[in-house]
Amino acid sequence: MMNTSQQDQAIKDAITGYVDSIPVPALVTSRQQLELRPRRNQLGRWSPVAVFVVLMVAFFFTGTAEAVYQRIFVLHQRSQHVANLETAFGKASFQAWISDQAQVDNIQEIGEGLGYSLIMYYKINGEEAFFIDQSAARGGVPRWDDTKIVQRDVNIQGSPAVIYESPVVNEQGEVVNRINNLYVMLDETNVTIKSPLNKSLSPDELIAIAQGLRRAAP
Amino acid sequence: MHEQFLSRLQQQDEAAVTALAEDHAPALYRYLYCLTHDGEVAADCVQETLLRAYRALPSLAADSALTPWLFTIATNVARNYHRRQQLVRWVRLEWLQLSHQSHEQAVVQQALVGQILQQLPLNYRICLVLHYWRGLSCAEIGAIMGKSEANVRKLLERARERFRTLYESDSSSDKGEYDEH
Repeated sequence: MMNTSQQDQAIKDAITGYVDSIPVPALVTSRQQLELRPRRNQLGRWSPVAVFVVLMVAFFFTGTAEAVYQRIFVLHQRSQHVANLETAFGKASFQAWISDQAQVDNIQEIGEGLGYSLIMYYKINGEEAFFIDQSAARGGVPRWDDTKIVQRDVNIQGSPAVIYESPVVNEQGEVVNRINNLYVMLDETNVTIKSPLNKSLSPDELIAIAQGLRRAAP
Repeated sequence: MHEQFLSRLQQQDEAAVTALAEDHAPALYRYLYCLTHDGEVAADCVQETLLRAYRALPSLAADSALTPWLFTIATNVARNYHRRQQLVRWVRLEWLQLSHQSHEQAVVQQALVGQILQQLPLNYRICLVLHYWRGLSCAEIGAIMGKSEANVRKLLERARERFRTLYESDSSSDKGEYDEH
């Protein structure tokens, strides 16, 4: 049984060990570069207008509040529409993947340089089918609060994959739906296939989409 | 020496400003990583912290302690980030995978600490990291957080208790899982 001082020392060792083990990437420190950096997390004076436009566009395409709400995280303040696949794949520093099982409806890009990621929206017969989020493999799967792992032992094109369930939240923060998503790292690219917000795909459907992914031409 | 350096900073001397940033950026990154649990966001918050610091340099008081001042800015940046992220939050799943896949107990242990910190309220995290990692007193943490020393003492006490409870329960369950491999 540890006394208080030993407990305190154990906590100190645990926290210090953890914090000191965090690898530090190359950081931008020069003033000039900082002034020029993209304002990914900052609200600029045009942001309220941009958010309003995003809301209207999202409402127009989806018609549901919860879908709009979820789209904001995807679009956030730093994403923008990409005109075509060639442009998007030309900018990506990673091997991009594409699905032939549905029609590409919209492509968004987020960030620049190492933080660059692509979100491709797919439709079948005008209905939202799924979307694929891909980026250079550097951090693992993005996860919502309350995310649950559905299946761990999945193999996609020879790579281990995981299927996880994430909540769809409305404007009041209430969970209105839960959807399945599949994450796999393919040739150093983080690939996440996400269900439509109003209808979850089954694990088998997600696996079929993932197995059908093919490399996009550079 | 310190006064000279401060004076150069107030005049926004490029070499002094760069030295300040390069000296503190790694520690700020680790601190902000603990508060955001996302490498990209932490790097972004470091940039935001340094940018705010650069802009505030001309009005820096002559007797300022630079490290607490930078950590105060970093804390505010992290709080702003959390306010914006109240709707959604990104958490890296690699920690979960790591705890299940890695056979290096030390790495698992560190991942576990990361997971536990992530479960704690932001104020608890700030107190624990500043106190145990930076070795700051309750009064110093209070100055950074804009709270009284007594308030920080209570916060730290609760944070420590929560951390200890989670750490002990998770350590024992993880150890069992690890031993089974």
